Amino acid sequence: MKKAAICLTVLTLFFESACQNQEELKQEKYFVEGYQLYTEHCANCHQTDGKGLEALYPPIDGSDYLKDKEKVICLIRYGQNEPIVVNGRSFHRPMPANPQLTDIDIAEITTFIYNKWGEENVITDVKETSKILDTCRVQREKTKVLN
Amino acid sequence: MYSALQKCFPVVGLVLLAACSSSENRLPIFGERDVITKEVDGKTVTDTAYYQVPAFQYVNQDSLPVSDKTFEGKIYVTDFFFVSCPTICPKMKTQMKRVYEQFKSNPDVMILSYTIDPAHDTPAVLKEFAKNLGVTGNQWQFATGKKEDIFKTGKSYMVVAQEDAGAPGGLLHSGHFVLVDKEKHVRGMYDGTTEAGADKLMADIDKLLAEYKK
Repeated sequence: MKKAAICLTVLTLFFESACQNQEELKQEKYFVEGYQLYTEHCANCHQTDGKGLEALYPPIDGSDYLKDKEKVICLIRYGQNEPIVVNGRSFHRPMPANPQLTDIDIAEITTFIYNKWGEENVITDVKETSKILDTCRVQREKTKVLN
Repeated sequence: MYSALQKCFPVVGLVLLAACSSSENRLPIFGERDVITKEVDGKTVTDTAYYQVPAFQYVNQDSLPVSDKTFEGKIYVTDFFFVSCPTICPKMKTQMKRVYEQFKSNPDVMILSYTIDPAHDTPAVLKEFAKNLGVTGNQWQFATGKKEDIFKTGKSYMVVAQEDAGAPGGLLHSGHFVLVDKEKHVRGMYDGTTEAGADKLMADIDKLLAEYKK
């Protein structure tokens, strides 16, 4: 009887994991690694719960800034020295650039942020992220030349 | 099994007793100490001289003087940071804010944060930082002054604060919170970058306040 119960559990587990297709596994990997990267590179200021710190560091959870994902992706790589307006409040501390983060790192952080606080349930793929990062790199170089 | 328990029990009892009697709840006093002998009424008495944080003089976020005198009759928590620090400072300020909120209405407790980047962190910059952190009034002082003096003051609290080209932001400093009593004795060092460190500090502040009630 006990043996039968164990078998049933194992079988259920087997089918469950089989049902979890490649895409879901990939999303889980992105989310978990994104969470680790977020903890290491972002949570100091934006806090583990994504709520930010007073008027010093803006929140990510519930932030209206999330509606422009391309801007968010560029911001993670290049930082920002100008004030930023989040939910109608202005924040003046510069955000440091993160040149040490690779494209896949940023894709994973973005997936984590949007799945956790952006009411999204899809992956922000590295291919998509690389394209966006490339565009903003070119744009930044152009503005540099103009200045 | 039962007899083994019985055998053990007296020992356990002793351990518990010892634990109780040693936790008289006084915090340790940090730093070197000297034994001094002096003559009082013709008799030789020995006394212990504990290390004291030396005098200092800086300017605060309101461009007013802040010195050791500001903290007379107070216990205070101190730390070293700089406004543009990208690494541990935000963590430290998150935790120090918790301490601030916890003891906000207590006139016996103060906080003192020294900047180690005075060239950037002028009183005006510190004022804005404090305001943005949600800090008002005089209970939390932010001190700025000459860099060499501040580094020296850091040493006097037994923490590291120095220039280091290899560190992010070019400055190296410890993430400690230091607890100082009314006699300027260092009574505790805490990891200011973790919630657990700040929790321990808050518990010890209560213990220290209780020492003065006796």
